[in-house]
Amino acid sequence: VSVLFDSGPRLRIEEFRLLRDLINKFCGISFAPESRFVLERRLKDRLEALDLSDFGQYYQYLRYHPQRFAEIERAVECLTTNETYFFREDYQLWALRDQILPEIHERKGKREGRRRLSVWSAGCSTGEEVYTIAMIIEGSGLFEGWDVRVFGNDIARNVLQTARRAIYGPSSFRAMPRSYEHYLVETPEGRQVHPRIRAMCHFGHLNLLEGQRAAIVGRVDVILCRNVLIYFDSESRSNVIETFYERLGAGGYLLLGHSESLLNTSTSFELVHLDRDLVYRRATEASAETESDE
Amino acid sequence: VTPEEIRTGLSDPDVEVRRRAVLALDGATDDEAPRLVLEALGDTEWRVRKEAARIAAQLSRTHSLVDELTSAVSQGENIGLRSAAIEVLGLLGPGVADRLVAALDTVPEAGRKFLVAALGEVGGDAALPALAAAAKSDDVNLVAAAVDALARIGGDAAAVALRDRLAAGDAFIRLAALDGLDRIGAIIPYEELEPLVGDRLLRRVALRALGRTKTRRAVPALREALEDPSPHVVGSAAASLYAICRDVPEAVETLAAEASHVSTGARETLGRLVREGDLPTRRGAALVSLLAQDEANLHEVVALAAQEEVPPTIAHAFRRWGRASVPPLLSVHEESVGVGQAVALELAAELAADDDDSRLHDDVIRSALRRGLRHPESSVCVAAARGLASFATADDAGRLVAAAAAGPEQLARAAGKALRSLRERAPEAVEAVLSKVELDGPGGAALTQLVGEASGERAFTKLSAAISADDPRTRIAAINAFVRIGGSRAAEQVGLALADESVDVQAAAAHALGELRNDAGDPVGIEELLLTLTSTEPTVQAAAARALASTGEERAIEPLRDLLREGRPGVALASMAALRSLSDPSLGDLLVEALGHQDEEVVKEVLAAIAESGGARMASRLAVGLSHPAWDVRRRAAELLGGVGGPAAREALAERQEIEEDDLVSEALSAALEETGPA
Repeated sequence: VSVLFDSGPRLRIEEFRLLRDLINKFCGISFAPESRFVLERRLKDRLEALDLSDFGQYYQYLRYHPQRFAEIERAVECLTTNETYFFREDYQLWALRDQILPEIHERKGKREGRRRLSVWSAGCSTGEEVYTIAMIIEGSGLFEGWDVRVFGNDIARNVLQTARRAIYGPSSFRAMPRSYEHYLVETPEGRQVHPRIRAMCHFGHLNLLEGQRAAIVGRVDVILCRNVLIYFDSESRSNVIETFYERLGAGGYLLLGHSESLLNTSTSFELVHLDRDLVYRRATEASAETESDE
Repeated sequence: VTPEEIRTGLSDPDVEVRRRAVLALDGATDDEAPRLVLEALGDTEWRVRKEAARIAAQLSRTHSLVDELTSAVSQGENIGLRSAAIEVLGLLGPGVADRLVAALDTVPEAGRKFLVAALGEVGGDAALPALAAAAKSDDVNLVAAAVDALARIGGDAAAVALRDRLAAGDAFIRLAALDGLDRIGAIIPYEELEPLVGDRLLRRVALRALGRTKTRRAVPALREALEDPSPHVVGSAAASLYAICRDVPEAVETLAAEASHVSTGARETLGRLVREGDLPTRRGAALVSLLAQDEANLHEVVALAAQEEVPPTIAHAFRRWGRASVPPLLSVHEESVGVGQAVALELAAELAADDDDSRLHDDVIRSALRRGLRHPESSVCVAAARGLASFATADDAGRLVAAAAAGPEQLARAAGKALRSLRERAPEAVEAVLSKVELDGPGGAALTQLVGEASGERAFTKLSAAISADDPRTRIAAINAFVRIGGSRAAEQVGLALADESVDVQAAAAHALGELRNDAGDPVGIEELLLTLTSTEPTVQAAAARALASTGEERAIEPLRDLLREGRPGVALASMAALRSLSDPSLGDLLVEALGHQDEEVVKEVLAAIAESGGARMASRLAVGLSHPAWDVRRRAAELLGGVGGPAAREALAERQEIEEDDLVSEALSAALEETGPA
């Protein structure tokens, strides 16, 4: 597989459409016609791994093979995985630290009995964002004695294995502030996230389009879904946003990537202007029953 | 709910009560319903108006509300009512355009622009002449509304009307027209655009439009715009330069000649745009930077390449820079982290390897690749292994085997490929390290493949061990290696794998038995393959079906027919292909039956078999595929009918072309009609 030179099988226009539609049906991700070369380049590696000679065979593999669901997950992983690292797009994380978490602490801290903070990193890839959020929560010192849970999901199982292992190479720490480095421990294979932080984090295999299955996440206070919605078609995006709305408790926050917005999606979210960021929020006066399954 | 209750509800101060009152009008048939819904369209609350608009559109099926809606559009008091009425008319669609056009002459002058806006929502060809006329009016507001409406409707006729306004005296009308043409993606001839580029107000939109001209003549004007002080203008010019170079590859040379004149200031802007622009702008800025051989922007360009695949136009620009870009790329590699580091190394290796004369003497790149192979980031190791395919020497054989054995899988494959290339240059070194390697673990499959390419007893012994390895991928690689070796001994080894616990290994074994021949050159394992047709695993059944086709075994025909009728789609597909290959004498009858198979892949295979079978009714049978609900079946049918030719095929193709809506099928129909020749 060459970066610059065309080699190996070509993705014909009809194969592109068949593969594109199959992937879209599976997980809502959509590819414009000009993405054909992207699919060709990235899926060539899968053809090589499966010893297939053309994309027609790959399509039939995805249709009929007993491992087809696992393979389509791998295809999606190849096509969508963005490089991720600790404290990526940190301005938003500082908004979480400085304004969102204190507000939640203030609002929920007054309650009697068990107090709980739940955050969902939707499309967490190899887990750096999940651990980053957990470090920020722990570092804030606001939630001692609370039940704190940070849940990360991804459609690709392979990345979840990496996430659970929590050992990362140097490039994952390129933006890591020194003040958070004490949450890492050295191992012979690389730096690993501290067991105390890992204990706060949970991972699961979840297709965001399967709205009903998202109920396993429970009711959450904050959802971070950054640089994920850009891959979806508008209908799937609406469905996913609806799922997020259902999963958020009253007053819960939705944080999207810097290039993403709900501008063209009809939603019930309200826009909140924070000092460093614009975020979406489920209205606080939302019905009380939304809290019932906490 | 009675009409009285609805009426009361619509006057309630509570928005939710009013909204529910509107919802109660859903499906109402009484004569008062239209009046009530029109009243609700003028509600002060948008949520009430939204529901009312939907219900008004439904009610219009039984009660014509067009006159009332027209009045609501042209009135000047209630803006909410006007917007809601326009929305309802939009929902009613082109069927009401004639009545709106007629009303243009009767409504008050101040209301005409709103009616024109409504025509834009309604759409349809009937609206276009009136809009084109309105676009030429003396009333600037009416012209602006007409131009916007034309852009909403789009199409060739709208584009003609908009182009006509590019010469308008008022600069804002020219801008609105040009913006409208931009919105519909119209292609405007270069000659018409060139004078507009100099107009400060129109410049950005004109530059964007130049990107659609598909002519290299636009390159100098766009290059000049890169010197504009506004980064937005530079971005538009860069994106258009990319579009032209993508559509007209020769334009790359024109731009390359121009790119060396780009000023330092413009280069800095381009560097920022590669990092921060939208994707078309980033690509355009990267293209210009590469053609200008701008080392200062190379870091940003590599970062873009790490996030996005390198499109062919950008790849061409890299290749044009060639080997001279290798030292700066290696610097970028040293300074980057993560995927960018890997991509820079891989690009450097590919560009260095493109120069055959010097690659075997390039110690700098070789050293970088060797270091990369030991890097803690897997992506860098993979890039290094890929590069070593061209640069490895005998000394690297051990390193590459170690990398392959350690994995992960992608690195193992890349290292395996590098070893294969190295074997051509240093066979003894590679054989020496392979003789000691254990065939299992992450690199087992890649290394087994390499061992299988060697001959001799030692390789056979290693493969016999590999066929029992823990990793099923290694076992499959061993099976495939035995196919290459061939002969009775290899067939014996493979036969046992039909009982493997892995479905994939069983399927690989079945496939291999179809390929293998004994020492006398005869097929082997036919009895086992016939038995395998009854496997409970569809993948194994399908592999056995295809394998039996390779053996030419006629006893397979009967069970394959059954599998075509009753098997799961993947099995039916393989059975169909096998029956074609075995030249089943009764295939014709089966084909007609199989044309109705629920799975489109099977139907495509059936169509191919019909085209192969010949006969008087071939064209009419293929034509059945033209009305299949799946676009890919229709496309395949069109392609096959084009190959068959003749009046019947031509007639069927032409008939389908009349109604076909799918662009890919339509394209295939046109090509097929051309292939069949004139009627």
